[in-house]
Amino acid sequence: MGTRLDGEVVLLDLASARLFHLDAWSLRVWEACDGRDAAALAAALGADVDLVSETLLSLADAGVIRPAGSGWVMMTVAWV
Amino acid sequence: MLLRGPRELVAPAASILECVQLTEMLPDHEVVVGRGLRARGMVGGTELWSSVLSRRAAVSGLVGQIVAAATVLLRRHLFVHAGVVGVEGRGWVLTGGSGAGKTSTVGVMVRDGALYLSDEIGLLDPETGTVAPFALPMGLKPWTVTAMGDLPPGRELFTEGETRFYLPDRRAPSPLPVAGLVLIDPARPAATLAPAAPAETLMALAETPTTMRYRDRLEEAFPGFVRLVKSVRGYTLGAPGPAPETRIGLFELLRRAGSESGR
Repeated sequence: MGTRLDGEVVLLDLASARLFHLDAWSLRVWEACDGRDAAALAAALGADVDLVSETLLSLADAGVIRPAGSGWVMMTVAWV
Repeated sequence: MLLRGPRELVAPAASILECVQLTEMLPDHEVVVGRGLRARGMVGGTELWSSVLSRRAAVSGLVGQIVAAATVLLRRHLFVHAGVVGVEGRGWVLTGGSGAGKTSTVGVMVRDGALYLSDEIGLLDPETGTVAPFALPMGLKPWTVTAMGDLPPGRELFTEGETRFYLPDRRAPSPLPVAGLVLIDPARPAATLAPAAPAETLMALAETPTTMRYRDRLEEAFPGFVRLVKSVRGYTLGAPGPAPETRIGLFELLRRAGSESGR
């Protein structure tokens, strides 16, 4: 489950009962995850690849993205 | 609720709990305190909780367990561990970690003109956007009283060790529309109020004991709190401290914030 609040997103993982806050930057990266890898995402976002990789690791740790081939995709969210 | 046990324990606990007039009907809760201060709470014959009460704080412990059980049994309301005051007909929900200053902030505001709803539990109705009174007597510790300065008008019901159970006279008789959600932040200068972003407010609520801690209600509680956060403003507040000048103006701060938000 998730909700959009003034340009930021808060996600709830029901399985772990944990909430995650995506600030503006994390949200940009998260929303860009459509199967592309870190390098492709960095190019698309005009950002440093190390920063993008670090953000992807945080998002994966939070369980809000999953690997898909060599890239990453967003987990499905029920918006409230 | 049925409460049985040693009279010296049951009588003060009952007098404290009688101050709470819930607007939501809860299932019958039977509480028995037996030998060795072992207390059990049952609903429909099934044990909901059990605990061995500390001798030094048996009444406080018993009241705490019964209140915690009530938050589990709620179905319509969402609970948040918070102080709640009424200012000009609207309710302010004051959250914060243990020792952040919720009780002292509530006490100062009630002394200065706010209505008392609770210093412990906020009962939120996400359908109506209101907060209901849960007027348990304030549990005043010596450092709370120091931070508050003068107490609001009221009466002391019971004292156990260092804790005074004190019931303010000026209490809200019914639910109030929620005006704001306030996070008491020890890092903020005392008696200062600043806006908080909705996401920050929701994350702060998640770190506080709320209905979101109960797995069986999480799926409905999250949208309920989201609805609340989207409809009212969030703030961070510096709690009052021992210095008298830190207690000045808290009531006026919220009154002005309420006027500016138009809710």
